[in-house]
Amino acid sequence: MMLELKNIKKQLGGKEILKDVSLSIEEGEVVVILGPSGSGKTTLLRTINFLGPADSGTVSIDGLTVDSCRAKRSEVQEIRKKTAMVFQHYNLFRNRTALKNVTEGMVRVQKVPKKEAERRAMELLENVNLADRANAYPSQLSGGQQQRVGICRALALNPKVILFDEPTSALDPELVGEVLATMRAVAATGITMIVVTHEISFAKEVADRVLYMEGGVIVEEGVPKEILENPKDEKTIRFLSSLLGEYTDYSI
Amino acid sequence: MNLNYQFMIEDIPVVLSALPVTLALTFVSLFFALVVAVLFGACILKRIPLLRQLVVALNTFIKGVPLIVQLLFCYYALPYVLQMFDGFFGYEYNPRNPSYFGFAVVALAMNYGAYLTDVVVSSYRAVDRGQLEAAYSIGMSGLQAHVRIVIPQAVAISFPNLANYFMWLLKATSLASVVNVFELLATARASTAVNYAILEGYLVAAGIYWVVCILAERGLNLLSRRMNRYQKEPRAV
Repeated sequence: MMLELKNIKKQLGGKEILKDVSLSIEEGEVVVILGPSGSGKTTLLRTINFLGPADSGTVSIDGLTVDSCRAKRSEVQEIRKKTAMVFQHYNLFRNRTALKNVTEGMVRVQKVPKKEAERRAMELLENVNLADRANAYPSQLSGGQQQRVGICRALALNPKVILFDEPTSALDPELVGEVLATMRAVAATGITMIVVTHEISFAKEVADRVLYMEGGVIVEEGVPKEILENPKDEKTIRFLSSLLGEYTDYSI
Repeated sequence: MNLNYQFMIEDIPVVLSALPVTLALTFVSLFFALVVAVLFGACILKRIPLLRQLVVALNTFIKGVPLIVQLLFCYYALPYVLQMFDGFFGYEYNPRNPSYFGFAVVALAMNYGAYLTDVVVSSYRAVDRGQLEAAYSIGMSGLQAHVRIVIPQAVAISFPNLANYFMWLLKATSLASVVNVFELLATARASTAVNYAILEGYLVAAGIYWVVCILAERGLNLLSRRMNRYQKEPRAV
């Protein structure tokens, strides 16, 4: 088992966002989490690397088990070294070039020698066709380019698990493709991925398993074909049909 | 109006000789003002109970009282404070040789510290939290994330504001002439005692302030552009 969440509960502002969620993920598995906004997808993802720790429940990654409410700083640090995150708004370090964004974690956290880190970073940037933009600052890159750098930054640390938090939802439509292609390539390397997204086609093609969340619980899960084409729960059916553009008709 | 040009030219080097005092007063006050602002700002940003309220109250008081009043207050009150510390840690208070420069620094540092607190707080908040989260997500410590990612950007963001305050402070030090600091303005006035060419003396002082400010503005502009080179467009000073 690569990652295991047990009995994760979390309240935000008096509202129960996660109601006792448990989840286990095998090494190399690509899990896509779907669900309407406010369903707790992102909150769940952020409990894994303690950016927004759960109120109770345990997080286990690669043999390290940490209790959410009693996590020591050193344990949180260990968990974060085993994970990496790709953010909705890229969150690149704006005062660092693309290359330095990728090397920062290697040099400062993993203590990789600078030269070695830069060599590896260039390799990663080449893989996503950004070698020529290595010395550009984030403000000089398009959204899609920034997100690809974000993915390189995550990969650079050789994490056990990569968490993707709606990686394409802030992008202009024409830039979504390049980021999804990069994510497909990441999935092909066999790394464990948890992806919160609204990209159904990505889920269909790449995911090993799809979870549907609503109201702070996992409503339904299974292989993509099963969930996406033959959903059983009423809520899943309603969500998928609204995603596919079968909106209710309004007259104004 | 007949200005004594001959005297004005002769007066330039005399007044200029006090420029180091003005600059020293500016830089020393700015340094301590920044220390005050960072400490005060941290109290506000970290929402430290009690200290935060205290800082906010103190800042509104400081901002609500004219700087000249604060300078006079320090000038008359600080000797008593120092006297109280006579004998502590081997400190010996010497009433014959009070540090007027030091008193002025206290007043200027507190006054500008109060204003710079706002700059510190707003600049820190202007760096979006996402970058801090990203830093944590790659395993950086809070200290690393702040020192390497957040604070450099906050400094760059605050720089145009800081530059403005620097220029204000440079000119505000002239108020210290009232409390016995022989900086540029006091020296200019004293230099006219021989012939009562007071207007000429002040004009020379004005000219020197002006030239220094122009040079400072140029320099700060360049620095600001350099610090903000990661932004799409350099921020204007």
